[in-house]
Amino acid sequence: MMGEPKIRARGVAKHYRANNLDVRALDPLDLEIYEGEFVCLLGPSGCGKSTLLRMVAGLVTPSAGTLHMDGRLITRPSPERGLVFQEYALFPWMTVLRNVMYGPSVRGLGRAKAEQLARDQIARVGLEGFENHFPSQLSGGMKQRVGIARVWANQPDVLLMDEPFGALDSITRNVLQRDLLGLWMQERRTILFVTHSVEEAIYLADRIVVMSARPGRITAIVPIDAPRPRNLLDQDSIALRAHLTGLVEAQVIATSGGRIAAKSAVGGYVE
Amino acid sequence: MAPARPVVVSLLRNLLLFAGLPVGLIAAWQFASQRGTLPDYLLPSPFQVVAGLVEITRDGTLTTDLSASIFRSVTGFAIATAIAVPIGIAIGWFRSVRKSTYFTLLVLMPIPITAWISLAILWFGIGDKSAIFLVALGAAVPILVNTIHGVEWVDKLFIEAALTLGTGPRQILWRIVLPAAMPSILTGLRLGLRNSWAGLVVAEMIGARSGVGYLIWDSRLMMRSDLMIVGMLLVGILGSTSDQLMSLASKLMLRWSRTDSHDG
Repeated sequence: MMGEPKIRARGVAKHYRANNLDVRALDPLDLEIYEGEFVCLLGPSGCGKSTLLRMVAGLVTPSAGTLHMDGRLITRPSPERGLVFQEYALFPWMTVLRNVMYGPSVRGLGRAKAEQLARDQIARVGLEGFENHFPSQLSGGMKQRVGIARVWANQPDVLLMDEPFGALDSITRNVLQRDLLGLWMQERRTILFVTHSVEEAIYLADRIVVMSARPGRITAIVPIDAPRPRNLLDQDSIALRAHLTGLVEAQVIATSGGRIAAKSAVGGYVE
Repeated sequence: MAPARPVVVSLLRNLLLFAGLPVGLIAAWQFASQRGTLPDYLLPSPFQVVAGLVEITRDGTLTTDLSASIFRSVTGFAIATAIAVPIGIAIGWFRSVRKSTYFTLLVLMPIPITAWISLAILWFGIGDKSAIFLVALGAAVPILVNTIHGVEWVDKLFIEAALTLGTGPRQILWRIVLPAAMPSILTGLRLGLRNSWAGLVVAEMIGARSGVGYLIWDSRLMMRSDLMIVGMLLVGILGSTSDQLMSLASKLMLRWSRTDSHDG
């Protein structure tokens, strides 16, 4: 990696008080993400990976440390950093077209321009013909396609994705992973992608940032150089899967007092 | 699958189910009146009620009373909406407004509209103004409560999504919170409309010289129990018609929340 990082986290930490207890959600960590990179934050539930993502989005303020994008301090949300939610977060009172137009029009691009951008993105995610549907009329997979189109229509520098396919069935999930990769290969925007699926991370990422739970911190950064689209069943992928699964599970076992150690040894990957 | 039945059979079945009870009730009522089981002064027969309705239709009382009541109801409801929706939004959205109105509303809101009638007459005298005031008050409480609730409990996810899409903090209320709270606000309007009829009837009984409430009250004094029943049925019809209209309006405004979603 060369040049200035797109996003730089320096000593970023998050702790808060709940029920008179200090909770360390995230211990101070450093992370650099470069322009055009696809980075996955991988870790078990409660490891603070979503907290880190929300801090980059500007929705959560760090308790310590700083986050910069292009050398500028991140203090609040900005359309330069688009966020895709696991729960889709589509506006249910707007049609698909209106949802995707929302970003460009709220930024004052004008109706015609906003609609043009929206129609382009709707076509890119394969939802032509659904422009006038409401979110309640769409399946989960289609909803998340709208979610992706809506953020992409804003032409953000960085796409933040918070377990975007976590609520989908595994078949839909695979299709959306493939399609997201396709979109990204066409337009290499920087992506920071949170997941707890080792397979998803291996399939998508340039670099995998493995995080541990309570307090959250980075335990390993694993670069993947294999060309895309990747076959999860080839030798290298299987070896990588074993390695990463080991790393992630070690965290789960450590924090749960070994109670599920036996189960996870048989069952492979633990959610 | 159940075996297919001829359409006529299911149509007849539905007719029987829907019409059976009211037709039966009226028949039993007529029967009891004719046999003398039910004396006229307690409950006049259906025929007498219809005769009463025809009488007040001919002499113009019906038109006067109905138009007076509808005018008061529409005006009062419009005033309640214009006042309670904005206040509800302010209370739901701004924590400081919520805190500063908390105790006032805590004490004022449980007072039933009937308890306001004396004050209404003291302030506005006998006539339209008192009735409009009570209608507005009756409608305002449910509208206020539901608007506050809708605005306060808007899904934070929508707000976060809007912020990351470039919405300024000052635009959030109008662009996101209001449309998201609309189902709750419309529920409040519907409940408020239902509640306002009680206010109207009470106000017209004591604080007016016209309207369906006055019709009910006055016929008791005139020993015209047939007109009393006419008045009560009119209130029922007015109430359910306005309720249906309101329900239609919310369905049109909430087209997006229909649940004919599919999976795949």
